[in-house]
Amino acid sequence: MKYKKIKRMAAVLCFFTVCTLTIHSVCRLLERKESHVEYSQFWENPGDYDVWLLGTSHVRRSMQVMELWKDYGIYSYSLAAASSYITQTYWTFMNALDYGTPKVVVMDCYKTGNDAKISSSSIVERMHTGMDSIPFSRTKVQMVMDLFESPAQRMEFLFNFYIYHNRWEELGPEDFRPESSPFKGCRIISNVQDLSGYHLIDQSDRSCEDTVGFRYLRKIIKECQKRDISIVLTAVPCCLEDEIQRSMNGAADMAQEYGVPFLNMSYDEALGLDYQVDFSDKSHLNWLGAQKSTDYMGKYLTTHYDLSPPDASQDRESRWSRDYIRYQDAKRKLLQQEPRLDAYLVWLSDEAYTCDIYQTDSQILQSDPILAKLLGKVHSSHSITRQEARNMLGKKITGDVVFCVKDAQHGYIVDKAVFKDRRRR
Amino acid sequence: MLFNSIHFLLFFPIVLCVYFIIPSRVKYIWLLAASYYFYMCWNAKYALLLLFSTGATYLSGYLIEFFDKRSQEKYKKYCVAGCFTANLMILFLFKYFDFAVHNINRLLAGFHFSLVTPSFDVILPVGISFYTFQALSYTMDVYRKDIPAEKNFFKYALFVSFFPQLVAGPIERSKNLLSQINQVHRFDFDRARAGFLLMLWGYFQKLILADRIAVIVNQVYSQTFDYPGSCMALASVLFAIQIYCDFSGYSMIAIGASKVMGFSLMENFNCPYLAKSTAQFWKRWHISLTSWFRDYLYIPLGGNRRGTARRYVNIMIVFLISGLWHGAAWTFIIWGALNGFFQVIGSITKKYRESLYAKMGLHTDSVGHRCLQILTTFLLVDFTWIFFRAESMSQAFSVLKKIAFSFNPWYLADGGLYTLGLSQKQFGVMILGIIILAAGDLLKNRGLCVSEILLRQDLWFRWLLFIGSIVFILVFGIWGAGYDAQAFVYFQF
Repeated sequence: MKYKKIKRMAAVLCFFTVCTLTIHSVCRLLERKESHVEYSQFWENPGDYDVWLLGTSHVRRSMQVMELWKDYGIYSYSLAAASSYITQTYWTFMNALDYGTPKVVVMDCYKTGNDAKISSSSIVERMHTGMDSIPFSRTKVQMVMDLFESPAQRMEFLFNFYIYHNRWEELGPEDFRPESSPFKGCRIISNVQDLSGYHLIDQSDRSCEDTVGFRYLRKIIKECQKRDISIVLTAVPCCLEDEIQRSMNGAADMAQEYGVPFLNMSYDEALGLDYQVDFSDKSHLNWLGAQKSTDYMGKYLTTHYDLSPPDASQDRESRWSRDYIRYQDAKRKLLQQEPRLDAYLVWLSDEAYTCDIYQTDSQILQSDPILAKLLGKVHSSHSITRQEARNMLGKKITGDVVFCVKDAQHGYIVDKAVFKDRRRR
Repeated sequence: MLFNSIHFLLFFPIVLCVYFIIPSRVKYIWLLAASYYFYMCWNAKYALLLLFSTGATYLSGYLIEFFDKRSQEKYKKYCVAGCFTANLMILFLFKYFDFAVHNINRLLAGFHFSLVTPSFDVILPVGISFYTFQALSYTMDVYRKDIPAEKNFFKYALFVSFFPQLVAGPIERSKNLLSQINQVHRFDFDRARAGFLLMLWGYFQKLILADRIAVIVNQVYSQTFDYPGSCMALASVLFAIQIYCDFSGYSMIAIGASKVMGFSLMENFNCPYLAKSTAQFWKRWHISLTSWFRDYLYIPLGGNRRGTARRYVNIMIVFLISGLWHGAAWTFIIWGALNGFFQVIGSITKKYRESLYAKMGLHTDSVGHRCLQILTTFLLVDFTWIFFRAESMSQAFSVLKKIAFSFNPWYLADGGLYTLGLSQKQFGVMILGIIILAAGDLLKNRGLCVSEILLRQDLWFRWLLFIGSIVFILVFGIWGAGYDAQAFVYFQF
């Protein structure tokens, strides 16, 4: 009798284990992969990164992790998430600290003026991108309990099967073989928006009110100081309302209070920002602007902190080298898929490419001041004749301008493109 | 608290674990507390109504027995009348008062009078019709000496408020449930497994079918002007399946949950859409209510003992009241009247039909004939469901008019089928679900018990099927964020 009972209990236990594992696998399959694509590399090995970049999409698009590594040897990861309030950034940071400790934290001060823990429901959906990949832990539970009041929202962030179970209709190959992003939490945008008319308020015009944003920024600084982690506050350039800029400027007071550096990049001429071509929209820098701000940050970090790895392992170096190749491939794909002429020229500013250009008599690249400026930024170009362009394309030219882009190092053709009326044909 | 909420999925295991751990003598106290908590999660104040109904019927049982010992028959009747009046007055106040005043005002308007009465605009207490009827059945049972009056108030309170069937039935009889409350319940593996299987089947009906079909039905019925008659007909047919799955699903979960705890509740549905006549349909649909009306209304009215004409009158009375029980609206009354009418007509024409079949040489036991009977019954019942589902009489007539005069089936064939709220894949899942449901009902109708067949299979096959079913319901079920888990259709009654 007793034996039968034990056998039954074992069977029940076994059943629930198999059932739980099956459900877990199904949950993983149905989960939206965006968060894992962007951040899973970090959560798998947080100790691999000496510098953590924190903030919003401003940071994601302004500081390119792979460029920091290539040019300055800095091992970093961008944990910045689109539309992330500082509350979310704080908790992401706290979760990350459970797994590793960086040497330097770069914290952007956009959203310091926000006096709420989270934004409207549409932004809540985006928060999944930043939060889904964070491993389940006590800190994650604390994060969710602090950020959300509604039980349903808490449920959807702690057990996201609650919202993803009906994704079965959308499953695609990428759900079965998810690949991590080669950009390591960053995004590259090549749009161009002319913001040369933007008026930047005076740097001394600032407000540091006791908002939720500033309170959580204070917590981040204190946590860093408690753990002996260097922190750099930044304000990445943007062309938003004066009130936002004022609160970003206000971070200077907090930086002063805690004796930490504050890089208000909009006001630093060393950045060499060109408002006519360096922005993709009012909030974000494009690839041209990103190269400048990445360079600026790389110089600052290498000048002020000792980021040379004490245990420079060959393994880490070779992993990053492989990642860099993936990163270059991804950028190349973006170039090959780019449909707009101005954005295409932005990609060509990359020193990885050289290009041959043929223009018809319309001379479209010179007729527009922005295109002319972008043409000037193309890394290496030379003009070719109509016949050469035709031979290269192997067909009749039907557009205003023809590009033949080659790999700068090996010389092979990366892309051939014909544009008419600024659109790719 | 709803069976299809996360809250219940936490609540039930806790109740279950504590229930099997604590000593038998306090088990009913624990279940009573859990039942009141279950009810108060919805609206704590309305638990007072439940308590009042419990108190009134408990007292009536006590007094009936008291007067019975003294052979004071007259006072016994007063007790029954008083108890019925008090309970039905509350039911009337919360459910029918506005409807009555509105209709009286409309009637008086014809004579240029107006009865100005402030409207009693309150939320209908969930399950009031169910627990009121269940409590009243106890009074009647004690009066008829079918059972002795329960002396322990808390045990009686548990009978009225037993959480699995509190808000949407099955409406249990004191004879069945009260006696079980007095029994000792220990954990039984086989019984618990059978209970969980029933719950799983209930969740399948609710989450896979009822709530998926509801998307189409709600879409079409909310925009009756935009869709042709073919869509109306499709939505009406689907509504028949929706309401069956919704209510039967709830009953299955209730019966399954009770079974896990050691209680055996009465069956509430028995393959109703395989009935061959409307009379048979009503023996298979919402059995606990139909049998309640039979035992406590139809038979006291004389049943079929007072001649054919009186029998038909009794049937009509029962179905009109049944319609009214479902809701305070003319659509429900018409729905009840139609069901009664079909039964009466069916009964009147029975001998003529049989004679016709004989003259035509039709084999009434042939598969074809049985299928025709089932189909005809389904269509008649589905016709009445149009009134049940419609928001108003005018909407019901508008739906019927569209079905009759602007059917346009090409709308559905021309891609319109997937504009009714479900994508092609979702539609596919719905069809698959309906096939599984039909297969289950066909097997049951042949006297085969699916769960028993499954439990006879090898372990690996059982596990594969059980785990597969759980995953299927979790993945393809309509639940989670963005889903309003409020509606089991019968809650409103």
